[in-house]
Amino acid sequence: MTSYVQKIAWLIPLLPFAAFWIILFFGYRLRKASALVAIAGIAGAFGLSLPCFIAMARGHDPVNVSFPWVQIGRLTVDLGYQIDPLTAVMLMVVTLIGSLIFIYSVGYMTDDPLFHRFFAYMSLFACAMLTLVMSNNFLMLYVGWEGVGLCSYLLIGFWFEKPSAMRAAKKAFLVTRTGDCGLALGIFLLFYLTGSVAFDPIFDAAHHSHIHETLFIAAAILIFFGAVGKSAQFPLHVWLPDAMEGPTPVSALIHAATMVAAGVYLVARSYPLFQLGGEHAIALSVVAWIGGITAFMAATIAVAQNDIKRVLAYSTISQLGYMMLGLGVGGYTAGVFHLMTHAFFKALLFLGSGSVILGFHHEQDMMKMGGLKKAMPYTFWTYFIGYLALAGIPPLAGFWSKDEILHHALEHNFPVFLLGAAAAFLTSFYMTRQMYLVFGGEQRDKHIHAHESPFVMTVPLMILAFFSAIIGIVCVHGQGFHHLVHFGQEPPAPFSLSVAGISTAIALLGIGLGWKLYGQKPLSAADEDPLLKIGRLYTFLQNKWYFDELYDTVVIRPLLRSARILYWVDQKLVDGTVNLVGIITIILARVHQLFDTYIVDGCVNLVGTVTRQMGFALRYLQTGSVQSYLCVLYTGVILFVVWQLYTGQHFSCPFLK
Amino acid sequence: MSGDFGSVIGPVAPEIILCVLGLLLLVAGMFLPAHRKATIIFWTCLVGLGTALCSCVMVLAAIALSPEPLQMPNWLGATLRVDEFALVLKILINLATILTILISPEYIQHRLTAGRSEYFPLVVFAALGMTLLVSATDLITIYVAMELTSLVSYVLVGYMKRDPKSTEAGMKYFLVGAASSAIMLYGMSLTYGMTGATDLASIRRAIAELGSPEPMVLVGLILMVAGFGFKLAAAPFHMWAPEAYEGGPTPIVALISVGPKMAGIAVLLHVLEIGFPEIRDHWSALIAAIAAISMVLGNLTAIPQKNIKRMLAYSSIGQIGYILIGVASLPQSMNDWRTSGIIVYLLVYAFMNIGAFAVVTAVSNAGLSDDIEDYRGLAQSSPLLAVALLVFLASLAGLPPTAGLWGKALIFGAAIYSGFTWLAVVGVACSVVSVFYYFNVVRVMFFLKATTPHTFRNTHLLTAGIIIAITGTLFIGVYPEPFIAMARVGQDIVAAR
Amino acid sequence: MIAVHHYIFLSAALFAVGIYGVIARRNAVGVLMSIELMLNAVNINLLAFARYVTPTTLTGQVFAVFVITVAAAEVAVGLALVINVYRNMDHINVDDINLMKW
Repeated sequence: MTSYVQKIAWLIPLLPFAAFWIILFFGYRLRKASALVAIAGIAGAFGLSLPCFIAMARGHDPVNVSFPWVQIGRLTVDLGYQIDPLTAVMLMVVTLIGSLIFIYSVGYMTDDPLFHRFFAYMSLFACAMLTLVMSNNFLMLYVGWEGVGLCSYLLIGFWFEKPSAMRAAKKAFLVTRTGDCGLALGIFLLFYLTGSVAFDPIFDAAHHSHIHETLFIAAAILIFFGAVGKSAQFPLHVWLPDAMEGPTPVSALIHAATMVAAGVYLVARSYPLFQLGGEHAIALSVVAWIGGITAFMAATIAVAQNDIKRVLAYSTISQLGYMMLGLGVGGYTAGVFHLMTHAFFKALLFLGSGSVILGFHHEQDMMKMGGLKKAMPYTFWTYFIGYLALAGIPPLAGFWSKDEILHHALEHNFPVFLLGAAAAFLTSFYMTRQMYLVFGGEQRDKHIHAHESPFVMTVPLMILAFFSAIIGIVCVHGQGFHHLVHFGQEPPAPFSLSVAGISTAIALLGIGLGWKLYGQKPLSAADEDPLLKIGRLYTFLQNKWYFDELYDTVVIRPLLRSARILYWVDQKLVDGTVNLVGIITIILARVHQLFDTYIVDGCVNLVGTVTRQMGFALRYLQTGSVQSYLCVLYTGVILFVVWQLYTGQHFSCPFLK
Repeated sequence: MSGDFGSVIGPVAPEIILCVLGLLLLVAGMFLPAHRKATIIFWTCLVGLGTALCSCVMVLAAIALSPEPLQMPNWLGATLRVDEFALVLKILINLATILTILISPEYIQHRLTAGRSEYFPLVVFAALGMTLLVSATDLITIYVAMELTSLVSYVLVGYMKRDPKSTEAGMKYFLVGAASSAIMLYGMSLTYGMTGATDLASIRRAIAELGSPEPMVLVGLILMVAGFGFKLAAAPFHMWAPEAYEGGPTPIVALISVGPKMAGIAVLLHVLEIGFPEIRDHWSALIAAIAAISMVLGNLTAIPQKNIKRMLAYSSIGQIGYILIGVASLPQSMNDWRTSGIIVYLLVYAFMNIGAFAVVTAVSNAGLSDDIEDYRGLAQSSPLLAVALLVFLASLAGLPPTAGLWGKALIFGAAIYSGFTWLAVVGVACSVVSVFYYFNVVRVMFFLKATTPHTFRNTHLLTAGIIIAITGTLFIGVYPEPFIAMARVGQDIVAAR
Repeated sequence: MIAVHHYIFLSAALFAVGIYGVIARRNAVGVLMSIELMLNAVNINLLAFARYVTPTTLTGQVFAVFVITVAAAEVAVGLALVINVYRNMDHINVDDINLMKW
């Protein structure tokens, strides 16, 4: 039976794609209406995803449609799409949150001269992201993967007149591309091992091939390297904070809710590979440790940031680490669950911060804010819900998923559990700090007149707040989410009061500390940040563990320095010897120069030059006189005849017999 | 008799439609009122070509769906053979002609002072010659069909009577063409003398009876291949091409750079595979040599060219070299890649080459010359044209995600399967060289500033033609399977029988 | 006794003369005439073979008729092009028609 899911699903990524082309071609004519086109595209995708999701929730069999892409002789490559519960959840996340962010963007981007181009890029991003999650093979997934990377690059550098934005875009592109190399290598390795790019055959082969198990594990780790780049995990996390240079809706959609979660999705999707090796799966421990370290490290950095969006950026890195941690300790459901809840409340927080930034006239320094609760009541209340959800206060969304992850970690890997718990404490602390700095007390910079954002922005905030509040409890109810998304026969995580108690206590502790430092006596304009008391450590955190400097010293500087040393050597070699030995060195330098011009450059250019010169020489064959052309033609025929007869077996003319 | 009228003329319906259309347009040109003439003739021509295209598709469907092989009507004898391979090529030829018609009106409006109403029927007759040629399996039919195509092409290339370049191009094209058709005829007469037959199947039987390869058969074949090589513009029979391309009206150049190649490849395959399979070793080495010379010569000489049409002429000499690799390789029964490679390459080539010439037409409609120098800053003055040309050139160079990649991949695959690894290596090396001169144009368009700004105002027809070509190039590039499958329809058709 | 190879030699000679004319004549009409010589060589071949190889069928004769007919059309087109060249350049010297080269 071809179900309706199969009939409609292929349209999902095509709607935003169509929107992209329409805006691209008619953007100048459509102007503001291009937003409508984009919203129609993504909302249409949502409308088609919803029935798919409902079908999956009701226990519909997964749909998997393949068609041959290239088929020559024995070589066949199939492409296609699939809708299974994991994909359905991702579809809902992308299209629902996407629709809300698109609507919000109408308000946020309203004065931008490149309004339509923004929506074109966003639509293209939606298309690439949907392709990524719907693909049933690594090839299309990779196309989507690079597609979202490209859109991320274009959107981070959207305000390209700002040099910092261009730098951030370039950095994001290069760093994630480092990870992509790993992914591409992993896909090549898998194709080499199995002769296929589709998920199911690869996972089957991985399961039944015991000879190549090590190679499959290697492929899993290579794929994880791709995920590390895209999901900004340690040590490739450095691009995400800088990516905040892009417009805030971009930060919310791409750098919080969807694209950065693609890495987590990739690990979840390739879980059969990561699981190889049974109880002590190496790949999974790598995932768990990287996730744990990232969660903790990013949370410590977030504590000491003053830029409202940077705090959220580090928080995102930390939470992505959490998801990885969850997947790594065997909590497949928990990791995906956290991906979903996080998408909602982090999108909410980013959009809220966007609203604050817009209302505060594009000032992002929290030290200048304060007391915005009065000026921006809608923003405040929705932000407050997002804050509680992120901090993990029951019964809001974040609590349930974080709780499940901690539960799994406690059972399987205690050191990682400690990292996770510490990150949870820090999370509730830095979010409390942010709440008080932005909304509490009195405004510290009096020159700025804050105002509430328009409804087109606050209504999406309210909807997201609603989801952030209830989605956790809805999904946990009767283990609903676990029945939907699970891996193999994984048992549901039982709700244990002790873990819940611990995690709530940790969260409350963090909030308490935050209140003690920032809430009890609100910061006034003259006060300095109480955190400065911890001295060196604060500087260390504020400088993000000196990662940028580290990379600068370890990777970029040596490159530049070696270039400079070579230059210096060259200079001294020529200059110094000229001063020393005078005339002899002039000859030497000449020789050197000649060598350089004729041998070094020569070798490099030889191939090119020879080709060019042959081209130049050959053109003179074309003399312009038609009879020379005929000569060439006749000579060619005669040569062919002679050659063929010469190689022929014997010569005899039947007419002369 | 009237009951099976369909089966009597059905298989040759496309040719009959084209013939009637051409005659109708010629006559209509004499009687229609002057002010309405151009519009009526243009649209009739377009509709007629569309009908011919549809009839090709219908005959193809009828053949593909019916269980038993198609019975050719008696009155045709063994002169024509309508099979899947021929029909796919006929569809391509009609498509190429439609694209040519689409990009023509504005150009001839600018450039022609007289004879505008005869232009379209002549193009239709050229298409008729080519469609006949892909089906022809008798030496006489091959000769007549080829002359029909050639004579019309000479006239069309020299059609701009007041333009010395066009006149010269027509003259040179004619002289080389007439001389090489005489050579081909001499080859045909020798073949006839050795075998006592003119239809390819009988020729094959006679050669098989002769036993050991007779040198005269070989000489006859080489002389015929020289004639086909002229149609294909394969080196060393290519010398007319740069001049004809540079001087001829651009839309016509688009057609003659594509249509005769399809027809020529079809007739070459038919003659070699149906008529001369017994001496495969000989001709496959011969074709391989021609392919290698064409690739090297075309791609190298294209580098220093200053005129874009001349550059594209050399590029198309190189391109035919790639396609000839497919002809030289082993037959389909031993080599899955061959027919798919040839057909996909021809299809892709039709889109990308006509597309490139369409952009050249659009640029020259704006009053610019064909010098590559005049393409400076095209990216600013007309982004659509610049991006379109970028896509077509990337495809000609065989870069992903364009269709050219698949054509080259299949052809080189076929070569390697047939033991022609050296040809594949030469082909890849030439592709690398070709990137050099194709991207020189891209560099000029995108990175140099225009000296004087030009406004581009193209008709919807021309834009439509360019967009069809882009869509084809990119769609086949992204999703090649349907086209490879379509090529597979004619899999064992080209195989020897 | 005249055998088939006599005709072959005649036609080959005629063909060679035609080729020489095509390459050596400077006058475009002369070149055209040389091409006609080549075609006539072909016709001799065809008729000789028809007589000696397939005496019972008319294939060769029919082919020759086609060649003659098409050659007439070819000459018509060729002369038209030559006239056009003359109008544009005031001469029909094929050596000097080299506006486009290299």
